[in-house]
Amino acid sequence: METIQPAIQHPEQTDEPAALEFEFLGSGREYFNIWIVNIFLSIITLGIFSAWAKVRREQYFYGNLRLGQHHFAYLADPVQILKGRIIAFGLLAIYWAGWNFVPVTAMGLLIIGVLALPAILVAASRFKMRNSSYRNIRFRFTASFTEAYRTFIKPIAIILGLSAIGYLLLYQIDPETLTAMANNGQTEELPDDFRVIPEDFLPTVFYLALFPFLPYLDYLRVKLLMNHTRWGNQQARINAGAGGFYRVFVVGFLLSGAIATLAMVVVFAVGALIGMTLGEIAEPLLPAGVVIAVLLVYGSMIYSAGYWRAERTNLIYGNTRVGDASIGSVLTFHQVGKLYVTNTLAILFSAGLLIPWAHVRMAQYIASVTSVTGADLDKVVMDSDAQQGALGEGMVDAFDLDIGL
Amino acid sequence: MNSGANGHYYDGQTARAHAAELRINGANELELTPALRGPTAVADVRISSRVGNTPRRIEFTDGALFETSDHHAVDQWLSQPGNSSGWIHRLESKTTYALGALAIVALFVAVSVKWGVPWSSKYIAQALPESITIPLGDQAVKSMDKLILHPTQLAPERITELQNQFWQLLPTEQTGYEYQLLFRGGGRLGANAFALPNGTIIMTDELVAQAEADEELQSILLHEIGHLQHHHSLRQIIAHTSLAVLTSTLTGDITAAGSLAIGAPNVLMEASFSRQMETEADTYALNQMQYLGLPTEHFANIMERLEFAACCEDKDKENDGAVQDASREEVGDPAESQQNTSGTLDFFSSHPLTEERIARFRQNSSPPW
Ligand SMILES: [Zn+2]
Repeated sequence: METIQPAIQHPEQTDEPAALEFEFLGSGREYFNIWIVNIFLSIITLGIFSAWAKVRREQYFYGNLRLGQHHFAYLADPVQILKGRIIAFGLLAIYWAGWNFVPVTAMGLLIIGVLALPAILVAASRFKMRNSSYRNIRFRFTASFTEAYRTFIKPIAIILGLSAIGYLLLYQIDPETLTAMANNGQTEELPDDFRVIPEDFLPTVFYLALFPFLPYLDYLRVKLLMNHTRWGNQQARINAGAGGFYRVFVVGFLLSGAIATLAMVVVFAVGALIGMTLGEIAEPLLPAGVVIAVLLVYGSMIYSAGYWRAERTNLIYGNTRVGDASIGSVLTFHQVGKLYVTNTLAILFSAGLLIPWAHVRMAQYIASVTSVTGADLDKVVMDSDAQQGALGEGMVDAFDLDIGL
Repeated sequence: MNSGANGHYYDGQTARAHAAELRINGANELELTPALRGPTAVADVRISSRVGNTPRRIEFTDGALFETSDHHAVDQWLSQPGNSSGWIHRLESKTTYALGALAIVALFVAVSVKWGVPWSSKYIAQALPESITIPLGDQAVKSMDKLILHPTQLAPERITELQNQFWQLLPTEQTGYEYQLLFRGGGRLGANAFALPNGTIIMTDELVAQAEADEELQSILLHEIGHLQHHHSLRQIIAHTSLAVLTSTLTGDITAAGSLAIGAPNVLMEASFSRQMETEADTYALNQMQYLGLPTEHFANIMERLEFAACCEDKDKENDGAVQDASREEVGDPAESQQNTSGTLDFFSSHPLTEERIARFRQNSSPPW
């Protein structure tokens, strides 16, 4: 209570510290109870309670997140989430029913997914932001569907165009060569009239065209999310270019390759050493050796995923300002990698029982390395048009989809 | 009763926090000190239910908020008549309740994996209309033709001969299937046979070549018809789908790391599921062979020959180990069959049972299991 100003005070005077630290106050032990009880309630209500369970889980994580002396809050109405889930199930049912009459190919599904993505992104972000609050001021996501489509239309068009060109080039290759390519590595002779149809390659061509654009799409998405987020009358702004996203992507890619290679080299070297020194005696050790080798290589890949998570988070939040406040984010590759590896092991060896503990540890770590400076929070007021906006957003109230920021 | 709660008051217009105390008076009204607002009846505020030790929100209708971590005081206000939303928190805060919940969840997961999913998928599979099952099977035939299978090299006369034998094997009662028998080159699947959800049975040239008597092929066809009569491939597709839906609904917060562990029960179930199905299909084949007067040794003979071919002749094949262990087969999902059926032989999908299965057909008069 020490840092709270007296009730009557001039707005210029503030005794909030210049730098505010995040802190996560939850505990794995406490969250375990909440987690398991809510799963239990979801089961005995045949899944209906799962909407309430989701809200309680979010409330636990938001409510235990403290910035300065104040806690965040998650305010979603479980009934809205339930409606959203019922709609999602309905869409799935329609898809299944429609599949009878119009079987959708893998490529068709891919195109539908790509086209729906901007709308889903906007709807989910609106829901999430509007239900997040700090100091009794809600966040808001202000991008329209049109803005989202305008953001993504060019890269999507380029990717689809490249896929089309690739596909047409593929069509020029004669089916014999294509068949040979498809059956590369297959030793047996194929009958003369067996061919691969170029359509089979369509999704592959699409992914190949998509790949170089992934960091750019990620950048566009983050920019759209950040630059349309408001907290009261404070506008968030991200000041990072696409270059940073490419750097994180490429370095992360090379790093995980290097670490996995190193792990494999170590495994083979140790294996060869044991084999040479012990000879035949080592043969019973082989299955155990294979298990250890696989664990080591997978572990190194999980560990190196920590680089991507840490650097991407730092890039995004470290370059974001909310009004006059700037966010400090100093995640380290090694700490996140270590958390990933230990959390994965803990979950595997506890048959999932340590999932709550793993979540809490991650939240604690991220909070401990995140801060806010230069904030004059007392000046923040509610957006004058916030109420009006909330009405327009009622349409997408039902859309609750977990899309991580 | 008159204990106050310390916390922060927010007016709903600004982010400014006011240190304040909220207490209840004799008239069941909440009074704020300092008096930033007048007394408000408890019935006119919305008090958030308790989640762990996260602060409680006392929301006023004008958007103002009082936030406090003094749960004791808040619970006292709530103990006034008309409020009883804390039951979830009571469940969550007692270790014994949590352990009880854990036991029931574990039991539920075990029961649904062992019995619930197979049982319900059996009934769903039987209830699914042809308008769903036929396109599913047609799609599977098309994909397998494109990706794995080759056109048959058998002589047309031989095909007609085997197909005529096939018609004699079909059940006489209404089946809901339009049975057909197709021949294909097996490619990397080798000697094999599949039953697809539209009533199509595919037999590979390699399998035909392995047979020393047509009765052997007939016994295999009966086994495949058994799979279809029991809707096995549909049941497996439904079981997979429902298990995925089940796990994702229940554990909404499973992340990438969690899904690793979640994958395990799926795999476990798959294996035992298949073994049980094989027994069912065997039982059907055995009964029908006895009914049709076919000597049941034929099934045992071809199984022994195929097993010998897989284990001993192709010892140097890299996927030798996978041959006996692969438990998936005849699944309509083309993507999965493409990945998992490499080298799968329907007739001994689970190795330890192969001898048992052979023995069953050797004993001509053994009763159905
Ligand atoms: Zn079978």
